[in-house]
Amino acid sequence: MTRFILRRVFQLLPLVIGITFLSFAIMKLAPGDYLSQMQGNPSVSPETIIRLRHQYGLDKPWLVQYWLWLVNACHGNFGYSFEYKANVFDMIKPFVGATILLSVTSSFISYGIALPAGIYAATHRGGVVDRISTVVAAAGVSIPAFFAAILALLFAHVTGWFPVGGMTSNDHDTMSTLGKFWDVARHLILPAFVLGIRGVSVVLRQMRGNLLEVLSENYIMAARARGLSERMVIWKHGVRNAINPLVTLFGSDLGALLAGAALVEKVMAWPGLGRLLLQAVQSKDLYLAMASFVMGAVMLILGNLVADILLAITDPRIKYS
Amino acid sequence: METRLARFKLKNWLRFSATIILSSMIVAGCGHKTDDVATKDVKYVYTGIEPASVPGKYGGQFVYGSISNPKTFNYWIASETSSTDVLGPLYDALNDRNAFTLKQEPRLAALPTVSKNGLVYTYHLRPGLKWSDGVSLNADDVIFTLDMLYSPTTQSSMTESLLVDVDQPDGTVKRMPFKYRKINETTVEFTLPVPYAAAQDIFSFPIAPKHMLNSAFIAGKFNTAYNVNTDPSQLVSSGPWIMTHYAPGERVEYKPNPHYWKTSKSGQKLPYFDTYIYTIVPDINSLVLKFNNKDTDAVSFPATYYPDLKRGETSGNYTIYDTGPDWGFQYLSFNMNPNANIDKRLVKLFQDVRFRKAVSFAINRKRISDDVYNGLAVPAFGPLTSANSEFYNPNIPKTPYDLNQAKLMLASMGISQMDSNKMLLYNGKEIKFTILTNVENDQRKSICAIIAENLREIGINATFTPIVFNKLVSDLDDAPYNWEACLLGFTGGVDPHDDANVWRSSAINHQWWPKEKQPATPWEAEIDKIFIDADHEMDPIKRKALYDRWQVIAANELPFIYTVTPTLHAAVRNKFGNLKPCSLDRDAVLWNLNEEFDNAATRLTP
Repeated sequence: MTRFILRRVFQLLPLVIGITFLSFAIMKLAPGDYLSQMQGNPSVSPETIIRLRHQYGLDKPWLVQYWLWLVNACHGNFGYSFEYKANVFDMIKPFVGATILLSVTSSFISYGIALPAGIYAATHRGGVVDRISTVVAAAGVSIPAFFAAILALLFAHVTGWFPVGGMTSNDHDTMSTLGKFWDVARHLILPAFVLGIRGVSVVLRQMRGNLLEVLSENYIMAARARGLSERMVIWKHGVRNAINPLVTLFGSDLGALLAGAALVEKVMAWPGLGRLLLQAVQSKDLYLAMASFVMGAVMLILGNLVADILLAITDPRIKYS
Repeated sequence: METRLARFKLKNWLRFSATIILSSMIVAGCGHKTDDVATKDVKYVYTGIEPASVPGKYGGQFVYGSISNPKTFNYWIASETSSTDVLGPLYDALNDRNAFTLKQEPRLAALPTVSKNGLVYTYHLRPGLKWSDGVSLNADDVIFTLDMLYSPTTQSSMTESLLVDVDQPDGTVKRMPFKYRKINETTVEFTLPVPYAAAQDIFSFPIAPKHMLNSAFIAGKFNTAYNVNTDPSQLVSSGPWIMTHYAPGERVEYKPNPHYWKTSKSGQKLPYFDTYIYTIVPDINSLVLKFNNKDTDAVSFPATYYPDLKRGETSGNYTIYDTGPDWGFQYLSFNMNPNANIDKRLVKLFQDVRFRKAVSFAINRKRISDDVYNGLAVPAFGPLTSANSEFYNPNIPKTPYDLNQAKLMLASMGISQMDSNKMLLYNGKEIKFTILTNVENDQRKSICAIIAENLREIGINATFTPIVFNKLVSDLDDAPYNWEACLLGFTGGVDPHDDANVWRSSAINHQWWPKEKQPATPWEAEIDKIFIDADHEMDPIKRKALYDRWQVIAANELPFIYTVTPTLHAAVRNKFGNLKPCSLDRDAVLWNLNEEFDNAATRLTP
């Protein structure tokens, strides 16, 4: 197992380099750079643009720029943001926490609802719950996240039950610890649900399908024939076998943890990484965007690694050597 | 630094329009009908005469909502309004323009004394000035600020505004710094290389605290000093507020600066509010929703939201203030550059003023206003808008929507024959060109669509293509100048001097023909001369007359065909005193927050 993990981590390196090269190339090959916005402004002289472009190192050929970036990155220096004039990781830090909080909560919501509902729908196939969940799942997949977020905001505004966007209230700093916790929780519920509901649809359908397939297998019939209780049949022999593909799904969810919430973050004013990244790409803040890409890539690969390991734990047939 | 604010409005337009995409979606999604706002009854109208301030009481808070997130806490490095909006309350200049009256007024220093030859400006700082941490603010801070801004290592776009145009014998312009020196602790002296009428705008840069930033400057780390990860308590202030907390992507909190120099007329310490909160929301929709939810006290908003917000005025207990036309406009321009890589026949056509006039007559500005701005825009015919009460010339010739006039103009050029598609023929071929605009801006795209349709009505085959802003900029600025027509926006400052960057025939931003070796036409030569003369004309009345003449030429020759100027609106809760909304402050009411107060406040002392 250790060897397997080491090998995977080793394989990771060229992949990450490939991803960074590709992202860098795309960012550079699109027209313009961080200073183009300024270039469109008549009151900034061309000399100033040339001076700044030189100071930022944007006047070198892009392959040279990429090489310099890569060498520095290998030494742990990911550069600094043009726009924020700060080390990119110092910049990203405060936003990562907010995004992880949102993503983890929404994952809990989606798996917490979808797993039991999927199992119930599969075992009561054609029943009311099954039908309703199919409709809800279809709706969940088809409503775009940003639109669901706008609806949620309207809901909050009309009912007044929840705050309209943001992560903390204006008087957050004067609250007690418990009050702060409650304040964040109240702000968290809606965005987490908006994000989570989409997950519910995917996981629920997957769980239901898998379980139905497994329940039609011969060994289930055999288990029933041996006179095992229906609970034993479903939970020990059915669910245990049906859950494997979901573990893989969970792995890729883990990878999307940092990047998956950008639109919802933007609409619901959640101070997360996706918003920062979106802005960085829009304004061509090269190194800030690159750092986010690297983190996203590493998370995705780690997520898959975790999924592989989990799979080995849940499925005794799988052995890594 | 109002003039600086204005300069970056161009960029603001772009950002602002990106958020419109979402907003228009939700409006459509809610089954909302666009009301005809012709019957709008606006209670407040900006007049240009500043209302007298009344004494206030202490207490309460002011919560403002904005869609911009600060990028840095280093005012001198900041290059966009999202940062300067947040830092403006912390840093005063020696003098600055009053956003309401547009006149220069004393801030940290009294108005300057000027030497007879117009070269030497002497500023006396107020006695006993202190930074918010109690350290004395003196001439050393002013000298440090200039040392730092003029240093080649400082990545500041503010440096640009500290340079003076010096005309060279060969007709080009060289940008040169001014000299500065400390006379004593409270006196500084600036010496210009040439007399320059708009010098006071140059001298209105925000003063930096030497005792906080000098070590970073000496160590070569000024560019990264005071970034958004800096503890706000390090940001010592000379303005009305000190920053007490920054929640990244959420809000900035301020408390009054105990050492602020300004007092009310009756001698009360300013500001009156206990707390000022600047909320950050990434999207204009949520911003308006937050205002409706009473989470914020004021919001400035695009015309799309006018009907909805107007409807809630009574129930939401707020007032919508009309601060008048914006400082800019959307304009159409044609490529008149003979070196451009486009059909030479078209260039020749575009160079004919009768053609440009015909186009201007063909544009239905009322329809643009109605369709794109909910009726909240006014037609534009010249390079300045009426917002600029200092320099606007109302007596310029106008070319309003009139298809007959348009056809007559074309006929006078011998263009009247039509082909089977009802398209006019010029030298035996259809007049066919593409109007470019930047894809990020929905308003511009709509305006382009209307203009293209208008032009078809008189038989000109115009189509429009939206492209990415960065690509558009390089197409316009760089050889081979591969464009035929384009629609862009421009926002000016108070003093038209800055417009020289566009109008001077040798300028790189002389859009219709960049970097002309010689002025191509007599009127361009005259405009070149006007901008040179106005720089050295110290008599304000004669100077205004020069710029009046420029506006007349621009409206006559139409190298830019102006479309419309949107009017600006802000909604503010009905509970504050000393509100003086105006358009130079994009946020309408933030410029004089230092004297605004909560009507319900009761304390007589801070």
